[in-house]
Formats: sequence, C-alpha cells, structure tokens
Amino acid sequence: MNEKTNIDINTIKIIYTRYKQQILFIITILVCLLLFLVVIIPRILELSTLSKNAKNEADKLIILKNNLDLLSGMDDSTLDSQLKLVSSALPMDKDFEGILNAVSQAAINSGVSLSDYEFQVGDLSETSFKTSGFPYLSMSLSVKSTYQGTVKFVNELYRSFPISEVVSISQESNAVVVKILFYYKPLPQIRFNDSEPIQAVSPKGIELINKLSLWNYSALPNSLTSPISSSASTSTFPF
Amino acid sequence: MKNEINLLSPAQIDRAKTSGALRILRIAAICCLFALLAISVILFFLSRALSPVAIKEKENDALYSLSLLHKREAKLVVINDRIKDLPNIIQSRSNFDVSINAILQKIPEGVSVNSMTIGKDKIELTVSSSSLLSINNLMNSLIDMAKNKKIIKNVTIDSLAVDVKGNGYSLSIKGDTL
Repeated sequence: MNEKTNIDINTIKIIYTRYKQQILFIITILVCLLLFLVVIIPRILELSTLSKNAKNEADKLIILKNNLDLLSGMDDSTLDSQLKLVSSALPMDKDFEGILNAVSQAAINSGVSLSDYEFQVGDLSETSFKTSGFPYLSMSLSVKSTYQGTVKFVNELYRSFPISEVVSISQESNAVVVKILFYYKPLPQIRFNDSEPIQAVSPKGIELINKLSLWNYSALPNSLTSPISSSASTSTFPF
Repeated sequence: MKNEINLLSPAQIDRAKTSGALRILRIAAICCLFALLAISVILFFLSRALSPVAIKEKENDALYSLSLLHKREAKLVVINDRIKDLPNIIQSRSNFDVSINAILQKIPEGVSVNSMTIGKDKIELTVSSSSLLSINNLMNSLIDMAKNKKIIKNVTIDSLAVDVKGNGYSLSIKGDTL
C-alpha cells in the first residue's frame, strides 16, 4: 500500500527550521561555485588576451623609444649637409642652374671648349635609349675637342652634380656632339608612421655620401651651398 | 545485559550525527568563500599589472616627443630615398672611354674617321681611305672584336662607296655594343 506524502507549507517550515544551518552553508557553497563559473573563469580567460595586448603595446613602445633615440641622437648640421649633397646629386626638379654649372666646370677641368648646347625639355616622343627609369632633362652640346678630350670631359661630368648620363657621342663637322641626360626625382610622399622603425642612413649609404662629397661638389654655386634658411624664397630645399 | 540501556537519548544521538555533517558543511562554505576572495584579489592585481594603461601613457609621451622631430625624420626619409636610387644610376652609366679607345686603336694608318657615333646600344662609324686594303684591315679588326665579344657583338656594313674623283673609298658600318 503506497503512502501518500503531502508536502505543504508547514512541512517546508519544519524542514527549514530543522536544517536551517545546513541550508545556509549549502547555498553559500552553491553561490561560490556559481560566481567561480560565471565571473572568475571568464576573467582568467581574459587575462591571456590582456597579456597579449600588453606585449603588443610593449613592443610598440620599444619601437617608439628606438625611433626617438635615433632622431634625438642626430645632428641637424650633419643631416642638413647630407640632404644638401644627395639633393644636389639627384635634385627634386629640373636644376638648370646646377646643370649649366656642372657642364661649364667639367669643360674647365677637362680643358675643352664648348660651343652650342640646347636643352630638350618636356616629354620626348623619341626614347631610343635606355634610361634608369627616372625623369631626366636631356641636353645636347658640342665639344670642340678630340674624342679623347671629349671622354675626359665626360669623366669630369660624371663626377659633377646633378647626376648625369651620356647616351651618345658623335662627331659632326668639327665638333663632337654629346647627348646627356640629367636626372632628377620628385620628393617621395612622406607619411609619418611612428609605429614603424625608422631607418637610419646605412653604412653603405654613408660610404656613398662620403664618395659623392669628394666629387666636384664644391663646384656648386653659392646659392646651393648657402645655409638653409626657412624663410628663403629661393631655397631649393623644402625643409 | 539490556541493550536498551543507553546513556544518550535518541535526540542526542541524532543531534551528534547531524553536527558532524554541519561542521563539514561549515568548513566547506568558509573555504569556498576564502578561495573566491583570494582568487578575486589575485586576479585584480594581475589585471592591474597586465593593464596596458601605463604603457599607453608612455607611448603617448614618446609620440609627442617624436612629433617634435618630424622635420628630422622627413630629411632622413629623403636622404634614404636618394641613397637608394643613386647607386643604380651611377652603376648603369656607360663608360665610353673604353669603347672609344678600343675602336680608335683599330683604325689603321691611312684611314681617317669621317664620323663616329657611340651610344649605349650601338656604334656607327664612317671612315674613308685611299687604300682598300686599309679599309679591309679595319673591317677584319672590327669583325675580330665582334667574334671575341669585345665592345661590340656584331658588325654590319651599311655602305662601301668609291669616290672616283677623290680616288678613295668610304665605308659605313654599324654594330651593337655589348
């Protein structure tokens, strides 16, 4: 015979009164377990993400500090002279004054005399020669000399600024006509992204700068060797 | 001997049994609370230690300092940009010294150079002489140069003309340079 058990409010009250302390402790344990599962464990999992973020930020800080050390340790005058040198070698725009000066100085140094010369500006429809891929100003000039004298002139020109390249030497009448390309290159787009490491001038770059400084750099006219002034309207450099 | 005799009442026995379990439950609850508290405190301090806030503050300071040096950075960028390109230009330049001297050395006596054009890719030469033999010697020298891959890689005769009045010959040749 099955006995029916009725659970009513009085029964619950009796159970609660009798087992009050046990119930309290069990609820405490259950709440602790719940908090552990719902709060503590996700927080522990968050820690690994936090750790990764902290490491990324630390790496970024190292890069920033290295960039700052590099730039702070630079000497403005050295930087300016290097900039002037390489900008003279490969100007930002057609440097007519520099070209004329280089040509006349090369003629003086090689002992030849020049007669006619002409610039060919703008887009050339004829590109029958290979170039280095940079924009250039083409010039054709007559040298009153022998081939050997002309070669000497070309060698002197190769040690002048702006950087030039002779594409042909031909004899016409009593003169030798030399076709020269003077290279230039517009300024690159400068975007400051301090989170990326800044490259210092490499040892090979320093070597190149030292080599270029031995060339006919001193042959430049005063307007290009004068100190950079920010207010100079005739300054070739934008800095 | 009577088994019913007991010093403890049933209620007391019952009470003794339940107090053991209660003690265990009490200890477990207290331990859980303390463990939760300890873990929370540890997590709090770990979160603070790993927080990137302090690092970000240092980053902002560094970024501000770097912003004052942007002019130097720009100059450096331009210098590096030029240094990257200059060696390519310098190394690719043709040296006509060797070519011109090599060709002129092959001109025999009695042959005069009317015109010569030397470019990056080709050479054009026009000579004249009263002696066909001298012109022949010149041609052979140039063909030898082409065969031995010196300065030029081929020779083409454009024209060989006879100047009846001047009693001479003129030769126009061209070749591709190496």
